[in-house]
Amino acid sequence: MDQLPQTIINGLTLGSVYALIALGYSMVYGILKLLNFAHGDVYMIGAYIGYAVLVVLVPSTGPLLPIPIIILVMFLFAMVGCSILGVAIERFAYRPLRNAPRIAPLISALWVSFVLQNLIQLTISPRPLSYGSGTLIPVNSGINLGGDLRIHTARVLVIGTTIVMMIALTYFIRSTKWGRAMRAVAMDIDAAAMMGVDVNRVIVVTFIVGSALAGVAGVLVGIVFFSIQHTMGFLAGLKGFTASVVGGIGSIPGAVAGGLLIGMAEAFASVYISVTFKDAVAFLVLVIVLLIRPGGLLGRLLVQKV
Amino acid sequence: MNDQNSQPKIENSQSTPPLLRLTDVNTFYGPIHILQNINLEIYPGELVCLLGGNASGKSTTLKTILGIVTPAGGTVEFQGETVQDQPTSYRIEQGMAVVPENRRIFGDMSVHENLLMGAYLRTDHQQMKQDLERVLELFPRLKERLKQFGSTLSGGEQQMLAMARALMSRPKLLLMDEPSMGLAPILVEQSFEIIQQINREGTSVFMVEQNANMALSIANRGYVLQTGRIVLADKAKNLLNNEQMRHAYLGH
Amino acid sequence: MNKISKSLLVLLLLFTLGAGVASAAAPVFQDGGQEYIVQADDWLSKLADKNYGDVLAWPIIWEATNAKAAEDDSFAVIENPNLIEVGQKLWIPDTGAAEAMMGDRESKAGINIKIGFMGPLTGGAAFLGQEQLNFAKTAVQLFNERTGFNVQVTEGDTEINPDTGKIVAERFIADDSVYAVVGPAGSQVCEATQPVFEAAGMVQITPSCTRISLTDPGTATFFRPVPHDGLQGPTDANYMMNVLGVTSAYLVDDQSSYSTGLTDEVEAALTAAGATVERASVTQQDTDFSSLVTTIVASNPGVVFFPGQISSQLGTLAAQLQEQSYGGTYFLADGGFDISWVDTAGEAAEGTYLSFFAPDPHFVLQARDLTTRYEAQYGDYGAFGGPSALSTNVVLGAIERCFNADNLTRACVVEETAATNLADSVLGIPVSFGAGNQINGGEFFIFQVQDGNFVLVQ
Ligand SMILES: Nc1ncnc2c1ncn2[C@@H]1O[C@H](COP(=O)(O)OP(=O)(O)OP(=O)(O)O)[C@@H](O)[C@H]1O
Ligand SMILES: [Mg+2]
Repeated sequence: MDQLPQTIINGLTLGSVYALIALGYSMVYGILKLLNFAHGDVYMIGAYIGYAVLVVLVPSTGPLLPIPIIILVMFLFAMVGCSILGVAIERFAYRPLRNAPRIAPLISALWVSFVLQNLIQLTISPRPLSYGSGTLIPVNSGINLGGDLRIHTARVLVIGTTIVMMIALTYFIRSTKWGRAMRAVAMDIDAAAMMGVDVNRVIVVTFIVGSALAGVAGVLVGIVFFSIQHTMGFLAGLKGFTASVVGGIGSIPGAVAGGLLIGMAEAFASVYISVTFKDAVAFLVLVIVLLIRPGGLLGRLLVQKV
Repeated sequence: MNDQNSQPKIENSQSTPPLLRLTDVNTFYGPIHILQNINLEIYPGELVCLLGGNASGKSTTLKTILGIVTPAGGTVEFQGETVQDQPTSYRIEQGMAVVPENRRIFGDMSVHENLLMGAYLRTDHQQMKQDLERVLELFPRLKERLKQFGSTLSGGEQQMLAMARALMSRPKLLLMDEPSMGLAPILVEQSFEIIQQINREGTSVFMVEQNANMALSIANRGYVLQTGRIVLADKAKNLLNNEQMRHAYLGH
Repeated sequence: MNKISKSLLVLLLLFTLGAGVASAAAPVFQDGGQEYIVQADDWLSKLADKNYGDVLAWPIIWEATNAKAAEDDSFAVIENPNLIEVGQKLWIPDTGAAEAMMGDRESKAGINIKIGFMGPLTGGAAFLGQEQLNFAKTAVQLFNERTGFNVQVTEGDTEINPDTGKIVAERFIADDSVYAVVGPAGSQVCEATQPVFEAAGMVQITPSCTRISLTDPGTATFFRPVPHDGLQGPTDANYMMNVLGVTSAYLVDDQSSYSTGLTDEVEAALTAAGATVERASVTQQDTDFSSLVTTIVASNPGVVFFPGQISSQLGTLAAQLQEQSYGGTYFLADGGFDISWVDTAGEAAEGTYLSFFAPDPHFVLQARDLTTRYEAQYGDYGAFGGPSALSTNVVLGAIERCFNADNLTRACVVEETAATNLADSVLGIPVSFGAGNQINGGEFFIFQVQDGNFVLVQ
C-alpha cells in the first residue's frame, strides 16, 4: 500500500496541534519578548478541563447531549478555563517581573510549569486519563478517500478546527481594533501606549487568546490520541516552541507554517526513516531552517532597539 | 541652585485656568535625578516651546507629562485634574496626543492603519472618517501612500505620518518632540506652517525643539531647560532678544 | 568508596546492631484465656469492651486467635478484623494475658523501625511509583494493626535516574532505623543501587525490575519476588508462534531498559524459530503512533508486540492500529496488565493478548484486605501495586522474625528475607527465594482481553 497519503494525514494532524500551541508562544513572545514556558502546561490543563466535561456529559449510561454539542462544550470550557489560567499566570508570575532581568520570568515560567504538573499529579492523578477511543467518535467513522485510505473523523475535526481557528485569529489580528492594538504593542510598546493603548490590557487579551487556543489543542489531542497525562505539556510545549521559532517567532502565519512543517517532518521521518528518529528530525528541521533563515521561515531577525 | 524659587516665573496674563500644569515635578531614571523641580503651564490655545541642549531633559519632560515615566514628586494636572497617577491611555483619552521623538510610526502597518491607531480611543466612526479626510488634505503625500507600509516611507513622510497620526485623536493638547529633526530646510518650514495652522484651528501645542529660532518664531512662549532645570521662561519674542539665550542657543 | 565512609558505615552497622539488641524484647506468651464462639452482631471491639472494658484492645483477640489457629485449626484465621462470622471460634486471653500483650504491643510500638521505599514519585512514571508506594504503605498499615508494631515508611524519589537512585540509597543507609528497602522501579536504577545496598548489608527487594542479570549472579542483599524477563520473553514468543501460529512480527520497544531487554528476548526466540521480525523504538513521552502504524500496516505482520509500561501508550497504539485497519494480533507484556489502557482503547482492545507473572489484584481473594484498604485511601489502582505490597510483606515478615529472635539487625533481616517461605501471598502465589535471590517458580501467564476484561487463556 502506498504510505504517502496516510503519512500526509498523520503529519497534518500533528502539525495542526503544534500550530495551535505555537501560536500562543509566538503571540506572547511578539508582545512581551517573553518565552512563556508554562504554555505547554496550559495546553495540558485544557486537556484535563475537556476531560472533566467529558466525564460529566458522557456518564457510563451514555452521552447526555448530542456528540457535536458535547465537543463544543468541551472546547468552550477548555477555552474559558485556560484563558483564566493564562491571565492568572501573566498577572502573578510575569507582570511583577516585567522590568526584571530576562532570566527572571523564564525561571518563573518553569516554576509555574512545575506547579501545574504537580497540582494535577496530586489532585487528579499521576496516571494517564482516558478520553477513550470511540467514546465521542466511532472508531470506524471517517471519510473514505478511495482504496484502503480513510481519514478518521477525529482527524477531520482536528484539522478542520485548526483551520477555523486560524481564519478567526487572522481576522481578529488583521481587522479588529484589538488585533491592531496587539500588533502595535508587538512593534513598539511605548508608541502603542502613546496612542492610548492600554498595554496591560492588550497583554491580558494576548494571554487570553493564546491560552484559549492551547485549550482547544489540549481537547483535540485528547480526542484524536485518546488519552492525556499531567506531563503531556512538556514535549508538546517544546514542539510548539520549536514550531514557532521555525516559523519566525512573533509571526502568526509563521507559527502555523512552523507547526505544519514540524508535524510533517515528524510524520515523514517516522515512515521513511525510522520512528526512533522522529524527534531528532523535528529538531534538525529547526537547525536547518535557522541556518538558512536565522529569523525563521516568515520572521525577520529581531534587531535589538538601541 | 536647589531652591525652586530660582526658576523664573512669567506673569499669568490669562484669566482662564491652564490646560496643563506641572508643579515641582522631579523625575528620576533609577538613581539619576533628571528633572528637578519643574514648573510649567500651558494655556488653552497656546503654542509653547521647550528648548534646551542635548540631554537636558526635554524628552523626559514630555514622557512625564504623558505618564511614560512617573515623577517621584510633584503634580501633573491636565484640565484641572491631577493625572500623575493615571496611565498614559487615560491621558490620551482626556485629550493629549503626541508626535514622539524619532516619529515611532508602526513600520509593519499601512499608513491607513497608522492613522487608525492615532484614533485608537475614538468610537465616533462618522467623525473619524471626516477627520481622516481633513488630515489627508493637510498631508496630501500620505493620501497617495495610504496602502503602503509605514517602514517604506521616507523620513520626511514618516514625520508627516507621525503628525497626522497624532491629529487623528482630535487632541486638545498636541505634544511634539523635535518635529523638525532630520528634515530638509524646506520641509522644516512646511511642517512649522502646518503646526501653526493646527494651532490656529484651536489645538494647544507644546513643542520640544532644538531649532530654537524657528520654534520661537511661531511660539507664544518658551521655556529653556538646562540639565533638568528650567532656567528661562518668557514670551517667545523676549526670548529671541534675550542676551543669554542668543548666546547659548540661537547661535548669534 | 573512600576510607572515611567505609569506617562510618562500620560504625553505623555496629550502632544498628547495638540498638537492635537493646530494644528487642521476646514476645509474650501466656496461655490464660477462653474459647469463644462468634454470635450475631459481634465485633472484635465489642468483645474487647465486654472482656477488658477497652474497645481499643480488640487487636489482642485478633492476634491471640490467629496465634492459636496456627497450632489448632479449629480456631478461625481472621484475615480482616472488621469481618468476623457467626460460628467462628476465637481465643479471648484473660485479663492478665491481655495486659501482658497490650504491654508488649505498646513496647513494640515504641521501637523505631522504618522501611525505605524508593521509586519514581514524580515525572511521567509517577503513577507507577505512587501506586507502588501507596501499596507498600497500605501493607505496612495492615501489618502494624495486626502486630502492634509502629513501622514507618520513609520514601525517596528516584526520578527513574540511576544517580538519583544512589543518593536515595545512601540516605536510607545512613538512617539506622531503616532495616530494609522496597524498590526501585526501572532495571537501570536497580542495577545502580544494587552494589550500594550490598556494601551496606541491607535488604533491597524490587517489585518491578525484571532484567535477568540482576539476580544472575545477583547479590546477597538483592531480592526479586517477581519473575524476570528470561521467562517472559520465551513464554510470549512461544505463544505467538505455537498457539497463534504467526510467522511475522513487528516488535516495538519504548527504549526503557525493561522494554528493550524484553524485546531482545522475544526477538531472539522468534528469530530462532524462523519468524520474520521487524523492530522499532518509540519513547515513553510519545502520544501519537499513527506514523508508526502506517509503517506497520504497510508490512502487515501477524503480530505487533509492544512491551510498554505507560497505559495510555498501550491504549493509543491499540486504537490507532484499528484506525488504520491493521488485521493482525496486538500483544502486550506485563506492563499491559493494567485495565486502564483498555478504557483508552475501547473496543480496539478486544482480542489483545498479554503476559503477566501474577493475577490482577482486583481478582485475588488473598489481596482483598489490602485492596479494600487501598481503594478507600487512594482510589483505583493498576497492576503495579500488588508486587510492591508483596515485597513489603516479605521484609516485614523478616523484621518480625528477627525481632522475635531478639536480633533486630540489618544482617538478620537479610538472612530472614532469604529464608522467606510463604505458602500464600497477596498475589495468590507461594514465595521463596532460590539462586541469586530470585523467586522460585514465578511463571508467566497469558491473558486475553475479552469483553473489556483480562481472561486467562494459558
Ligand atoms: N530610559 C532611561 N534610562 C536612563 N537614563 C535615561 C533614560 N532616558 C533618558 N535618560 C537620560 O536622561 C537624560 C535626559 O534625557 P532626555 O531624553 O530627556 O534628553 P533630551 O533633552 O530629550 O535630549 P535630546 O535633545 O538629545 O533628545 C539623559 O542624560 C539621558 O541619558
Ligand atoms: Mg529628546
